[in-house]
Amino acid sequence: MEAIAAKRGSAPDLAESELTEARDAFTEEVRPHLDLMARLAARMAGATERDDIVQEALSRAWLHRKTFDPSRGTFRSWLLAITANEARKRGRRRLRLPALTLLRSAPSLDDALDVASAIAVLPPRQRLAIDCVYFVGLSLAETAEVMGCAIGTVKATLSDARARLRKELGDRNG
Amino acid sequence: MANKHGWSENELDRTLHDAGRAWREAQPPAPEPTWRDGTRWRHSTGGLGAAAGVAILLVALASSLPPTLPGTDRPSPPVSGAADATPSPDGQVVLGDGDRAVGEGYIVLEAGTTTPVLCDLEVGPLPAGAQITCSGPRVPLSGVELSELPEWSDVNGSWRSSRVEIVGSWRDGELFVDLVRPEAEPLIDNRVPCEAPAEGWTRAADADAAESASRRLSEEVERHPSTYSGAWTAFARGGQPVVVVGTVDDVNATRERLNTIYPYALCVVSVPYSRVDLVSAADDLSAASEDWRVAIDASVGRVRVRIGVVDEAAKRAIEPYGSIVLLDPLVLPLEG
Repeated sequence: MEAIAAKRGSAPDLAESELTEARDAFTEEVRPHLDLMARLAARMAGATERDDIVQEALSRAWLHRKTFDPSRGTFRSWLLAITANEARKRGRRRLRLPALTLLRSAPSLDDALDVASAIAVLPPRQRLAIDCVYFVGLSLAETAEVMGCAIGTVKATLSDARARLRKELGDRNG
Repeated sequence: MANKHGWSENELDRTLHDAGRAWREAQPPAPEPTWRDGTRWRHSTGGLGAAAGVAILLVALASSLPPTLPGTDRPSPPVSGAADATPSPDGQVVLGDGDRAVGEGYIVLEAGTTTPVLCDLEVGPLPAGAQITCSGPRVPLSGVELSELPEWSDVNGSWRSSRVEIVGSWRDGELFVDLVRPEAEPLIDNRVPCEAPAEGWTRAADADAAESASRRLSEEVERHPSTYSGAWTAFARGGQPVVVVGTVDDVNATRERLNTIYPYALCVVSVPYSRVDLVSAADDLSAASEDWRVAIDASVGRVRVRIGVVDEAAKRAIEPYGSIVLLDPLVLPLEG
């Protein structure tokens, strides 16, 4: 109820036809980014939460669309940051762990399990960096927007994460 | 390819790239946005559960908050419930005026404030332009030379350090700090709290079979919240995932029953409280005070209470909840 009231309050000056037109335009604007939003939500909170998170992120983006400032980043990065925020909140509210996924490209099931389990125990921000870059498919700049840090920090976090993965995997194989 | 000498940087990078591509290709289509009432989005009802080709080993039924528990070297929880993972409100964690104390976390100067605090930071991204805010309790600090803190950085007008360990004296509700040193972010403890069977853990024939069975197991645990604390995934030596279930019933009988649903690597542990008890206590504790952060820890069958320090007042407030509470203070008395 609160969200609906806020929404109505955000566009009091729009007639019904104008509202329809505005939301149709917004729909078209977000459509190219839905896959990335869904992937980010799935990596951060698990497949079962994915659609709800995307829905909430889109609602929130629509409510706050006037706050988007292109001088501070792209529309896609803005949507991704909102999605990440919703995923984080959902994870906290539902008290669930993200789903673990096997890495099917690994040379063997043992290797796949090793890498997947090594990723699972990474510190949260290192895991997020790995998820964003390798799994969601974001650029370093987009990952920086999602993580709220500089590109250099993303690079350093990725480097730390890879070093930790190699150490973990080395320990297990050694 | 992995070998006995470990993974090279390039091999790991390639494996991660390939794995990411395979994962993306296996994802179901994004939800199609439609409008429900002109105000909110409605998502498609497409079968997400299928998550084509991706093996979801298990979505844990309860959390791991906090994911970074102090003391990563602590041993795996004992089979009988890990009652000692964190001190109980029995006096060992109570901090008195003038006591020496030690804490772990991030030093933060929130926007518009002048007193640095020790606190936890939210895991996950910060929206562009947002400022750093603590997650949960804060412990006021005095005597900290901010400019010398490790990785002390400005985030849109708020400031934060990297993770640190601090030592000082507790006086008048503040920690007077005399030592700060960088502290590595701890790994998440995902070790299996059961001995491996003599014949080793049973491996699933393929990922689809494991996914299907783990989903059935997850549903079974969710259906009986008075019996189980939850289910989660842990890792045996060598990285093999093992599904762990916490139960208040007989461990052997439960394992036998659950093995018919999940005939793979399964570890059943005894926990003192069921999901029903945990949720009830967590709700009460959450409503009781904003000075602490409450989370259910299914792995030990307890409710973790993250608190700044445990003083006499906090001890009195928490004592009525008894042994279901595991206190997890940011700052503890320094032994010796």
